[in-house]
Amino acid sequence: MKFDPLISIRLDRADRKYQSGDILECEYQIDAVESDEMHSVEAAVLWYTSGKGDEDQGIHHYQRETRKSRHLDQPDLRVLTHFTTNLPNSPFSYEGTNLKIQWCVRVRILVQRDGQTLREYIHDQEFQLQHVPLLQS
Amino acid sequence: MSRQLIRILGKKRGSRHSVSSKFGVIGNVAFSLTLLLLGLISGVVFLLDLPSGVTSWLLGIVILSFIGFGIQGLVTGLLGSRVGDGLRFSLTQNARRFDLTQKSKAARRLPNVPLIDTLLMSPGSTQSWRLPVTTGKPIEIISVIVFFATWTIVSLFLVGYSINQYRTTNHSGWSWWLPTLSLLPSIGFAVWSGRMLARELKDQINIDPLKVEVSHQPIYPGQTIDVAISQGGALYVRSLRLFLVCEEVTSYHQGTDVRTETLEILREQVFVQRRFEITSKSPLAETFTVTIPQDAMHSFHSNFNCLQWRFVSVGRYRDYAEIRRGFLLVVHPPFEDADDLNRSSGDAHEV
Repeated sequence: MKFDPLISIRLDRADRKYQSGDILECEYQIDAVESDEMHSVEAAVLWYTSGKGDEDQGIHHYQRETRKSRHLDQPDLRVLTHFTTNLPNSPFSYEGTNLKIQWCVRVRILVQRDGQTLREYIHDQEFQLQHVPLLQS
Repeated sequence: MSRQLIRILGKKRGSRHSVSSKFGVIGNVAFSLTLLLLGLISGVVFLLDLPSGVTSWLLGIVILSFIGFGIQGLVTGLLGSRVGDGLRFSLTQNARRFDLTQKSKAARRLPNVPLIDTLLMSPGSTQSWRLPVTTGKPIEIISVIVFFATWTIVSLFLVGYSINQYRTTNHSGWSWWLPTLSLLPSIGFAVWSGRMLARELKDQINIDPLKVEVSHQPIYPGQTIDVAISQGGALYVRSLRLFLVCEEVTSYHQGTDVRTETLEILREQVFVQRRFEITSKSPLAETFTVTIPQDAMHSFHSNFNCLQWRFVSVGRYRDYAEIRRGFLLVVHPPFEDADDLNRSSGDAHEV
């Protein structure tokens, strides 16, 4: 029996609160999967909406690595990977009634085990970009 | 429950697919590729043996549409697939890099925040900017005009047809009185919509529009701005109120329908005046200050969701129905950059 892969994401701030223009530093690592089973790793800094409306999404930072694209000296996609990005000026994190805007770092991996079809695993680490709570009218 | 690869019979419900999405993408790409190849091959044949006259134009249009639809299908098919996530992001980034217009620069600086549209805004007479009216009833009035025009034309056609049939045929047949019978409801619809149109137009024509002007655009949370309102004409006003409103507007699919819901999360009365008269010699002209709450969310706009700020006026006039109008405001996030491309006027202070 094989367990699902473990994806761990670590942000540089423990409270996960950022201001617009701040530099976000992030590290991610994948465990519980064999190196040759890994097909690709995607990391993105993005916002998405939730609530009553259909989901909107905006990608701020995106990177994708496959076994082919990796440097030959380090072909293992599971190793600790570090990236930084300058956070944008908008949109802010928001918690409304029908609308919520949530920022997160999302890591998506594609794994192929025992000749089966590719299967994706996603893990999000949420953070706040200048969080705005619901107005008290 | 496992999903079938192909299902010929079976109703697709909601957002669920009756077949595998992968099969859909492959099918779409295969179809588009076939269309493109067909277009290219027939294009080569067409160019080798060019027909003359109208036929060449017709064939040319058909071949070009094959090639066009093929390319469009291939691009959308690939963008919709798993490969498309990175491709889409890369395309957007590259497109933005080459778009050097001021509007694009500003949009990149403040993503998903509406820009100040100088086409919609005009300079004010007492303050810097006159706000565009976002609600009146243009759609309703156009709908009533179309409805009225349609039923008037139908009624006139039926009258003409009935008279013609009555004069040319013997009266025992069905051909003349059936149109006459349907004449009554069509005239009824025409009269009803005509009366509705007259009532709408009376309110729109007889009442001068309220003008709202502001000292600054865009506005920042915590900022205090001067607001001037003015209205002319000859009116007795029972009450006129102006509200600062913040709304969450969300669109969502319900089955095959798209519904939009608007929820007011802030409604603050910023002006009220009761029982007064507006004449040509003494028009309404008031100036007051409005403060955007310190903890306010900035204006936000995306495909299905938006958060918008507006002034909403509610006027109750003697002999007229209540009139509501909205005036769009743009609230930007606190932004520490002296060279704000969006700032159209004023010395907005950072908070």
